Amino acid sequence: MGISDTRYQLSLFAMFDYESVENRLGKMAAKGWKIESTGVFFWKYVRAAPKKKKYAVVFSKDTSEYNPYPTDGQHLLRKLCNDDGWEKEAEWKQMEIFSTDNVEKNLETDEMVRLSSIRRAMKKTFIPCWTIALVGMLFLALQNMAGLYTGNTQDEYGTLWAVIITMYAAFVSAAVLISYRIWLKLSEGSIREGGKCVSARWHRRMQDGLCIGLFILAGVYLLGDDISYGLSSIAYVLIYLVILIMVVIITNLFGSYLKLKGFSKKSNMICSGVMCVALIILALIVLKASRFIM
Amino acid sequence: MAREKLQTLTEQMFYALLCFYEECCGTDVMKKTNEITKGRVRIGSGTLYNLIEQFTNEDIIRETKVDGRKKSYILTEKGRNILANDCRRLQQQIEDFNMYSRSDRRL
Repeated sequence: MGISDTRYQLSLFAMFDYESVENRLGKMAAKGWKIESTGVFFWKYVRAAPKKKKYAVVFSKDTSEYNPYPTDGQHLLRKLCNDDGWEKEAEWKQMEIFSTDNVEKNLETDEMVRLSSIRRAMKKTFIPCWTIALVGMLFLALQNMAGLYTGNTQDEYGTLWAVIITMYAAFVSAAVLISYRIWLKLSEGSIREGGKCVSARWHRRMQDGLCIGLFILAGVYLLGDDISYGLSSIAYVLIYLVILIMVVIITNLFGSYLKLKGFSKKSNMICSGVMCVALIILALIVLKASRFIM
Repeated sequence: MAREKLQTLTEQMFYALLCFYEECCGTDVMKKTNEITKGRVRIGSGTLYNLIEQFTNEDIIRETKVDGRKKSYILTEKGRNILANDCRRLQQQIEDFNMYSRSDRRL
């Protein structure tokens, strides 16, 4: 298979935005691209005959990127779907993704049950992840604030900006959690009136907008910093960014490798966690060294 | 949990429970619902999977047989009570409707 037969696409969906996932995959299939695998940032597609297909998502509490083999629950889901004419395509986070040639068919026929399964899945992953991010960012912001207040800082300008950026990041985390709650409430209301779960596209737009805001804020900081200290801070932040992305990618690749080797879910989670912490420590050492060099 | 601890059942929940009155597997439920309702109600496989998970966790149905990947279930006593309560609720609604519409005609 040549390189032109494979395509990678940046896919940053909200964990509960099943509708965007279904629509994206449907559009890609119509253009002749079939989903091959899902990843942290990029999803891989392979060339196929253009086909009008319907994609649908089921949230399963059993689906996990750490499970080496399908669980009993996943077997049950796949058997039911196969018997009903659906074909398993991929899985992402707690989504099981299926497709069918019959575009009139529905995988989920009770919105109340669908919402209940989404809520259960989000309690397991989405809410803990963003809560940890919120608490972590607030902790860093308070730590920097304390440094400013006591005058225990070498670079007052940098610390002030660190406070602003971490506070903003905490705000992003809180906004994401709150907007999920709003989506949940709106969907409950819609279902009570006989409708379906509301679209979560606005959540993603908001998330993207807030992240762009974070980059703008970091850019303003760098601009101000560069005027006083030269270009070294840009290089410093770039190294920081590259290392951060590398930590996420390497940890995920490591987790996938362990999954492939048949490690149990628990062992995989522990090993991946240890790997992540080790990489962060290594990154901090590298950062310190790069700061020293520049 | 859907419908506040199953005080009232959605149509799909109702027919899934009704099918499990006799021992059957998930695929049978989809077929039987289609037959009972003459195609009016359809239970999607994703919905059915989540219902089976939910009903099993709440001890509303129990697993009776595993034949390869095919699993069969049957209603428990609790499940029968939930179904019977929902039927009574629906019956009461019909009686209320009949009584009210009759008195309306008298006016």
